[in-house]
Amino acid sequence: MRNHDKPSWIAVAGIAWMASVNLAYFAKSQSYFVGKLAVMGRFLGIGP
Amino acid sequence: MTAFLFILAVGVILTGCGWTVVTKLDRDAVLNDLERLAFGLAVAALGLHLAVFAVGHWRLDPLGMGLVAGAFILGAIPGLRAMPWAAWRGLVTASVRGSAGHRFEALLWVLILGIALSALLQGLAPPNDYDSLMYHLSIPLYDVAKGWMEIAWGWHNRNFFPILVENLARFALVFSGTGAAQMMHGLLGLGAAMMTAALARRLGGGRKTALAAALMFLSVRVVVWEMATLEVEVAQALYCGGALLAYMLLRRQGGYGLACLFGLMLAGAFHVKYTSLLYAGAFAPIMLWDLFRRRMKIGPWLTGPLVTLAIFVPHLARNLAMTGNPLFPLLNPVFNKGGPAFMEDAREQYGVGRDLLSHLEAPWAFSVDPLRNFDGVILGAPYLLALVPFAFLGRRRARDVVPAVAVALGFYLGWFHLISQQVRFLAPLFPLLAGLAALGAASLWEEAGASRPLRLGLATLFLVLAATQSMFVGIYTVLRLPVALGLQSVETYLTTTPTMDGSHYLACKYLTERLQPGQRYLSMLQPHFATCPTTSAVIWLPGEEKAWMTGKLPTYSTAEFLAKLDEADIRYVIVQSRFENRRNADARAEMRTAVLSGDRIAKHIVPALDSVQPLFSDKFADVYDGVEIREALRRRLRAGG
Repeated sequence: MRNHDKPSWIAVAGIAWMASVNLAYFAKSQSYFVGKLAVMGRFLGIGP
Repeated sequence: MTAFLFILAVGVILTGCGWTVVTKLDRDAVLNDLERLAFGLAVAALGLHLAVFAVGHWRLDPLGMGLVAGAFILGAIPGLRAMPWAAWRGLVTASVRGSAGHRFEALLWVLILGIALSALLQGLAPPNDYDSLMYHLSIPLYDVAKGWMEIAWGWHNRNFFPILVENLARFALVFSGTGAAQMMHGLLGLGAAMMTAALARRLGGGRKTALAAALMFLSVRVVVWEMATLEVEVAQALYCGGALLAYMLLRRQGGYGLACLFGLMLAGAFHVKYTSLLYAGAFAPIMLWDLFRRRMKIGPWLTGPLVTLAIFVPHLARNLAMTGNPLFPLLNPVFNKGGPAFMEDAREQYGVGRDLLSHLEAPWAFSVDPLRNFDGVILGAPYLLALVPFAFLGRRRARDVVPAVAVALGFYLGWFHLISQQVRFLAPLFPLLAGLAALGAASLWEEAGASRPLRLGLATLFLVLAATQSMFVGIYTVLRLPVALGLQSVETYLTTTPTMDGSHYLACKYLTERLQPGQRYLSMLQPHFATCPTTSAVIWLPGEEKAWMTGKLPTYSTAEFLAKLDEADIRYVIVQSRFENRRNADARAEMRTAVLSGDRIAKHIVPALDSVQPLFSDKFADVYDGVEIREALRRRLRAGG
């Protein structure tokens, strides 16, 4: 039985994994998000 | 709003009918109320599909569907009376009071109810998605306009795909309209969210984990998008998630009732989409293992597949009678020697490859870089990839997690090797993946213990994922709700909302307003969309409606082609002029010219088009006077062209 007052290495690994997945995602999707925001802006009549 | 009330009534009636059936199958009271509701909705929707299938070939009008509706209303009464309303009222009251002290649980409820209601209401927006306009909606519209179900031969092989969602749409179209038809799929999406929560509970999650699982399912980009359309993957997720849950319970408890439920869920999945055949195949290893280890008796073990087969017979029989192939258009050369192999080209269209390493690379690639090799941003933010691996912490879940994962891996391998690697085709796994992701998040939170820095780190990352996903969920609300609620005109919505390839709304509207009863028009849209009139469209020329089945389309001289146009008495011709391509690294729309040259019909009609002016043009299509086109062809003939 694990002592729940002490953090485990799994939580640290979880943070590392989630952070790398997020970073990879944003690195690959920058232009996609910019493009979508532009489409949204045009749709709402506030974009270029 | 009458469409919304119609859907609420349908939801109550279906749940009432399903409750009776599921309660009878669950004699040992293995299922909890949430499971009975989710299974009940799924079973009754399958029943409604079969009823429309049986009656609709005779009458697809208020009388025929009224008889079906009457039978379901009567069938719902015992179930609605037997439901434990008092207990639920107490539960809701206690939850509302209790949630005051559990802010996170209250937040989950608010988000789930908000997304669910929004997704359902978005169905009231005019249809504008590619596959629905091409066949999921256009074929039901064609049938309802005719007044009975028939094979619309002119719409290619998609007439012969499974039609559960389309039959629910037919039922809704007879009484209401396209809004109600789309919300029928949304209703099944709510059932799938309930099934996901139930699955998460049986995998070892608590109440908050189950709520988080339902939220994660509803937030998958393709789920929130498809719930307001007639694209069928959300319904498939309901039945496939249900089949997995039923089998998990069956191998725990045994019994013929749960075996029947398992069979009914797989039958529902088969009636929704052919790729469910692969999903059923993924059960084979664990089922054989359970039989070998004597975890299950042969009777219940056989019952599930036999029920599935028996209920899928109507579809198989119709296809066999019409095409000689019960699974048409799948495996066509096997059943029709020398016949064309359909959809082979789609298999190689997507994916990072099919080698050994790609098995591992694909989930990473379609989660973090989906625009490069796949069918677009289907999942949204990569929260499934980020959280699912941590679901496997803790031994207490192994008994159920192992068979669930075995089925998921089996289906993934089938998807990877045998069909087109489109990420939305993984929908049968979404309930399980959402459940596992919620379990993963809960496990990580638990693992962080009382450490404030770790909890802060985890909370930050959860928030980043949630904020990113909220944009995908929110954008559909922003796009569709104004028109759905009557705050924006249909014309503005259909001409400004981004769609795949672009909308033909204005050109189709021009045709709709001018076509007189009995007049017909030649559609050279690629593909023909239900935005335009259905029954008056000539997509295949007279006499060649079934030629595509042999793969040998006739070619014509100019004189023969003109004779075909005269025979069809073509009044207008609609031609696709341009389209928007978004298959690039950042999904940016690029306008391209539609090229008609080289086609067996285009080689005759393009020179004729060059000599006349279109009556109407919009951004994507031109409408010509059919009589002028025929005259132009006659002039060419006289000139010896």
